[in-house]
Amino acid sequence: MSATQRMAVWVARAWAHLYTSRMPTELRVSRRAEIDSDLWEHARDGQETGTRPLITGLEILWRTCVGVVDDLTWRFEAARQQRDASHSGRRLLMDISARQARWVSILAVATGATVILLFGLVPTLRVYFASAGIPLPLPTRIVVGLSTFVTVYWWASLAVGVALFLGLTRLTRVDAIHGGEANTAREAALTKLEPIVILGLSVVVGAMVLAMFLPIFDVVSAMR
Amino acid sequence: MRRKPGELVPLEIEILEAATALERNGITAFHGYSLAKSMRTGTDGRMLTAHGTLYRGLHRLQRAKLLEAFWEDPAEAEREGRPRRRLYRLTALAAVALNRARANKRASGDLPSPEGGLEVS
Repeated sequence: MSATQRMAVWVARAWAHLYTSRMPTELRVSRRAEIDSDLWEHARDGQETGTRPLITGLEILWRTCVGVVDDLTWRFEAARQQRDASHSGRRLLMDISARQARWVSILAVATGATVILLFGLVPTLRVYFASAGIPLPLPTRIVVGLSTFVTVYWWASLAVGVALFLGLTRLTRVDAIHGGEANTAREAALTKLEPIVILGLSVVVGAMVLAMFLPIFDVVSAMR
Repeated sequence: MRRKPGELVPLEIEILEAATALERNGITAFHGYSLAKSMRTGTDGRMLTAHGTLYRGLHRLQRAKLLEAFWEDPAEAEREGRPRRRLYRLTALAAVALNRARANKRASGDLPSPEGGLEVS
């Protein structure tokens, strides 16, 4: 290899290192390796075809210099694509995080209401109804039975609560493995599910509260 | 000059033509330098395509799914004592795109009619 050829290879490599610097690793490594391979093939082809090393060196220099504008354009295009992809990924991540926070809030409110109702309000009212000798209608007896069950088997209630919390965070978290399409599908499913779950929980908690006040309504209507 | 979506620029057509010629000679997977050499064949002593121009064109064709790229087996490169090659292969879409580009050229009068010429199948 002549001095000109060595210098040309050095210039081509140095330029490739310069314009690929600070690019994403995959693009940077791939482009540098590809240029290295091209330079090697060019030099070998020169030897095989009997081209003078000086000519091969000048060809390499020429190919490097003439391609400078395209190299820079490629770099800017690749950087723009990377930026666009990263922006859309970040937006989706933020949307899903916000949704996850909403679901955790829904579960926290539902759990809080259930705990206050079944561990606080229902046992208090049960004692009051028993001491006053007020007969309990079927809906009230069901809620009282449920309250007794969760109070006695509190550890089972706790296990169900933890399982629900873990299941929900797993369901609403970002799917990093399957990427954007899976996340978008999950996002759509959760959007549909959200009002149904809020309505369902509200109806259940509301029905339990109503069931506990049924005996009082009966007493008031009997007094009238 | 901004190109229309889906339209190939002359360099991309040239790359696809050269790749098709290599494929006809039994080389289905080719590296950048072999492509540059194939592009020079048939021209009147034109210089090899510049690194930046060639690899930017290949990158665009790859993104358009007209070419697929892969790295060769490192063991093979090691056995032959040379750097590992990044190889390219024409996809099925490439033939369609190239035929369409030729038809457009012919319609605009830049290319003679295909009598006796080869169409990519």
